[in-house]
Amino acid sequence: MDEGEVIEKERGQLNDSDIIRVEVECEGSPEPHAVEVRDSEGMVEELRKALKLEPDVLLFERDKGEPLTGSIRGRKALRLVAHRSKQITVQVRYEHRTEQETFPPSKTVFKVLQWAVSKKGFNLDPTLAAKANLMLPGTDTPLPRDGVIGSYTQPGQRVLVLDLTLKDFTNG
Amino acid sequence: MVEEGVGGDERTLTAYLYSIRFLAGVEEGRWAVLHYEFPVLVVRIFGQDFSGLMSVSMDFQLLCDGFPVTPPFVQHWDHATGQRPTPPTSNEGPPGVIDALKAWNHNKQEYGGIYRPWQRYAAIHNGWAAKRPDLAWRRDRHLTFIMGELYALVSEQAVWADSRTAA
Repeated sequence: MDEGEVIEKERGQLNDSDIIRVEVECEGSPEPHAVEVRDSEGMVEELRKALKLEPDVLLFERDKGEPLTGSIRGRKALRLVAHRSKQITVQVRYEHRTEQETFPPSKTVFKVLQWAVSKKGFNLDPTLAAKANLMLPGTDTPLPRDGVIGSYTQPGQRVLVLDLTLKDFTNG
Repeated sequence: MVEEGVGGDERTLTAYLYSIRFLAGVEEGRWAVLHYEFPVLVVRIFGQDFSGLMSVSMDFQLLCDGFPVTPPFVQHWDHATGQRPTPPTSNEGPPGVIDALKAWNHNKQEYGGIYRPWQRYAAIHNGWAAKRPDLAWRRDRHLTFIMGELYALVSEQAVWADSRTAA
């Protein structure tokens, strides 16, 4: 299918008022799955069947707190995260301190970073906050801010340790 | 069916605008398309602080010719007047936003756009993209990469606005 056909297909799907297009990031799977479900009371169950999810796997909307149980009516596009943990304890290390907070696996790295630099975390001033990044221990590349924290845990892992590092935001 | 006279850059950008992840961002209230007439795309970004109680919006204009091989040219924009607003001073935003929105020229004459490694002209300024590959545009990235970076920038402004309100 070439790009033009993709656009036609996308437009056709958008005109179908009963269809919700869903992109799901599954624990342990690097690529998201794209599925379509009908906008109905049973849409979550329909989605679980389509993805062949095991009963203990929870579905979250990205950056939202509680797992999905019913339907989300009126939506046309959803980005979801499938994960076995309802909460992940994130421990962030910066200088000599460690701060921790629990987040759903669907929280983005960006939201965790916002917490880490805020008064609830390390209370960094605006200049330091602008330089802050989160990294996995032993790595030297900042985590992509649009990634979800659940994608950095192994199955069964409930604690995620991250390092807060400062990289200059200017082009020095 | 491929529309006649429509280039690959336009087809790719349009496909991204209709993609799940872009539309989900619209429905989640992170961004909205104000105007699209290829290669010009004008968006409004709604940033938030961590609590979600402070929200700030800013408009941006993207020029997307050559997309996705060529990174978009992105500039702060006032959609109502159709002009780039005056760059904020140090009393009007946090250091990261001030730096990103400052006035600078990429060829000693023309304004260079948002000063961030993912932006067309900033990327090649002093080899910035090579220094920060995590923030550089790549042709395999989705348009939502730039939308997410703009969301982060506007959210930084929201955090700053909240701190000013609290002070």
